[in-house]
Amino acid sequence: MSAIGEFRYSHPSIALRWAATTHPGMRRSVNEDSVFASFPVFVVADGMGGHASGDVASALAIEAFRGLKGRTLADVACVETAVEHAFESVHANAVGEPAGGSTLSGTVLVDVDGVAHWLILNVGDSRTYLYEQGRLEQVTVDHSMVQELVETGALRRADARRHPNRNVITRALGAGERQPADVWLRPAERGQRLVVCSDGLTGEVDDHEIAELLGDVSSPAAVAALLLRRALDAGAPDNVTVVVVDVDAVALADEELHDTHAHTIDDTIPREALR
Amino acid sequence: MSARLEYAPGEAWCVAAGAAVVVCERDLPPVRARALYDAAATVRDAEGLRTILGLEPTALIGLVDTPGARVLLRRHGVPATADDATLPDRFGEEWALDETAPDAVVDAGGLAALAGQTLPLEGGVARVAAVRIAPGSADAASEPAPPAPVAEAPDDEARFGAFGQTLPPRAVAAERAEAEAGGAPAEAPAAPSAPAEQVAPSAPEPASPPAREPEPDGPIGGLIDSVPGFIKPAIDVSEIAPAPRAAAPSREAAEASQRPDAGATRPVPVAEPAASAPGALDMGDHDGMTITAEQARRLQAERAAAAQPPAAPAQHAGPPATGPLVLSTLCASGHVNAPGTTACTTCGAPVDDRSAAQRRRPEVAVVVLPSGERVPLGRGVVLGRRPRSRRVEDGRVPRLVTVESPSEDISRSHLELRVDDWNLVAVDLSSTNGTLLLREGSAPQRLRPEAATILQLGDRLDLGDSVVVAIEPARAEDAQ
Ligand SMILES: [Mn+2]
Repeated sequence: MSAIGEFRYSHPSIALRWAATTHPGMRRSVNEDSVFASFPVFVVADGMGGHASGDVASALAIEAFRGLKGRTLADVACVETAVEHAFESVHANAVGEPAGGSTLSGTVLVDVDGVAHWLILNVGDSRTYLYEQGRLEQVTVDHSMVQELVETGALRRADARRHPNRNVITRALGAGERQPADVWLRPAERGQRLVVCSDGLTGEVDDHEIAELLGDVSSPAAVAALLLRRALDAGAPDNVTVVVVDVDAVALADEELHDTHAHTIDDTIPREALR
Repeated sequence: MSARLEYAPGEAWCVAAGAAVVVCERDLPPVRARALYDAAATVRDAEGLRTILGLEPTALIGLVDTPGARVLLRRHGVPATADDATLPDRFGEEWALDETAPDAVVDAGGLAALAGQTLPLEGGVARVAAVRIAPGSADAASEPAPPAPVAEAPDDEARFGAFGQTLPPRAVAAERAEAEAGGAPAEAPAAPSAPAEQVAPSAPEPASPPAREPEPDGPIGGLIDSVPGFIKPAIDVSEIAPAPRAAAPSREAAEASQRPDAGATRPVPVAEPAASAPGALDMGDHDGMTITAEQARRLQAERAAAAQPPAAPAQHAGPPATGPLVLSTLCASGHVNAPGTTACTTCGAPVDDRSAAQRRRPEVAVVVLPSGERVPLGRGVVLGRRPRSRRVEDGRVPRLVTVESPSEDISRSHLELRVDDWNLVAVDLSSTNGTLLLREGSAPQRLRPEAATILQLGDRLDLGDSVVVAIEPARAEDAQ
């Protein structure tokens, strides 16, 4: 495994470090995952479909986001347009029957009233996690058959990773009719660590292990490399893609970059407590 | 051909006959492999090769030795080297043509696999991850009289089983199992010549045999990971550039094209994504996909539903309709109203209830903040001290509204306001101190946490810390 580069960028409202890696895995010569990780865009796409269509589809999905790259935070409308373009171009170039398609997950830093926010989006079963104050939260919800089974109570979450249909996804770019992406908007806070990955990671490494590594290792590049290593050591039948983004500092509106940590530890004060 | 063909076992189909080698996707049906084998034996030049590649939709590369050159035709994405020099990946063209010296060593496919164990193939059909075409060794230089390992009918299936090292297509899986049960599976290749295995000592053994147990086959045909071998990713990590450049001009263009003026079709992608033009790839049938039969049915139903064109929303004055499609009626002036409305909410004109149809919903209401700012509810709004949105499934990013709360009385995400169909809805997001609904003529009412409460125009909501917001009808200038 070659060394993984670590990048950093400081915007007036946020300072980030990040790293990304993608690997065909242990059983495939093809890597149909695509990744784009450059300020302020961190997205992963997992292509599917035979015959060269998978990697083309995932590359097209990612391509739509390249235009957001720059020195400034994106704005929400531009991200919506990028999502639209991703759907359009994957769909337009989907050929064969069934056509090639792609998942899409990740996050774009957007400006909401002068404050950096994560616009997290998802179509399919790639994932975006948020690790914050020692807690790992899977922000995105898989569009997958096993997720539906889990939601209806037919399957325990713990068994989902071994379910024979774990690879069946229920939503994708390029797959027939356009279905909207799920979106989340979360304020960026100092100390947050985001992980965007394809199912090649989460199929092999469980959330507990991921959380442990995220808590133990401070460098995004090192943690990305270790996550990839874990997946490869587990056999990695699928392509594996990992992006890790750390928030080093955040400025609130009209403030200098500073440590927002103190603001984030305590939440609302119950009125009763004040009386 | 006076060349020596070595391959790393894998999933793609390699057909070698006469002077030609063709590699196809995993999806190639054995019967077509047979036909391809027969056709390849007749190929003498680049044009002949191009012809048979054009007829086989799963073909990935073709190589033919001509008197003056070794000719390689490749689809975009298939890595290849000639004498260890990487051949460029070309976008746009159907087949990338490379000619090398007749004695060049050409590698193609999953190149890393060639560092591991390779096997010889003098002609016939094998399942490969990568192939190497090297100058023939002195003793093996003899013309390979079509050895046609696939030619003898009784032998056929066993042959496929023996060569297909990893994942035979489902169609031959059973036969393969038989073949393996019958004999030693490891050293199956029955090629008489010495294997001349090359194992690079430092090679990281990319696919060691134990790792090659069959992947679990889902009972449902289309699985996301049922993708064939041989092609490299189009994007590599080296493209992850560290230096952010100034915002691309395409952003303004994207913005400009994005204005979805009512009824307009989706914006044309402005920045044509890459020159890859994958539409040019004449890809045929293949089976790796994610779509379940159930989903296919659902899509079909949706497609049918979408085929009924929504009546073009006639827009006059009044908030432009940018919202989701909802059942609606029109007034005489073309304003979109909720079904059951008798007098237009915009102009008071009578509403024709026979005009009921699905249309984009205009902005119905705004929340007026203590600052006087009016925020439309159409996209959904989350108010709080440092608000975040929960999962939104229609792709419309909600508005986050930060309200001052010096005493931290208000929760980070305190209250959600949205429009469901035509209903104005408020949801207290399990805020610490709750939300009060203030309605003219009623006693203040505490919102039940996480429950959707239907609002009326004129309602006010008290979030605490003297933040009271009002729900008012949208005006034309409120539209986003
Ligand atoms: Mn995958």
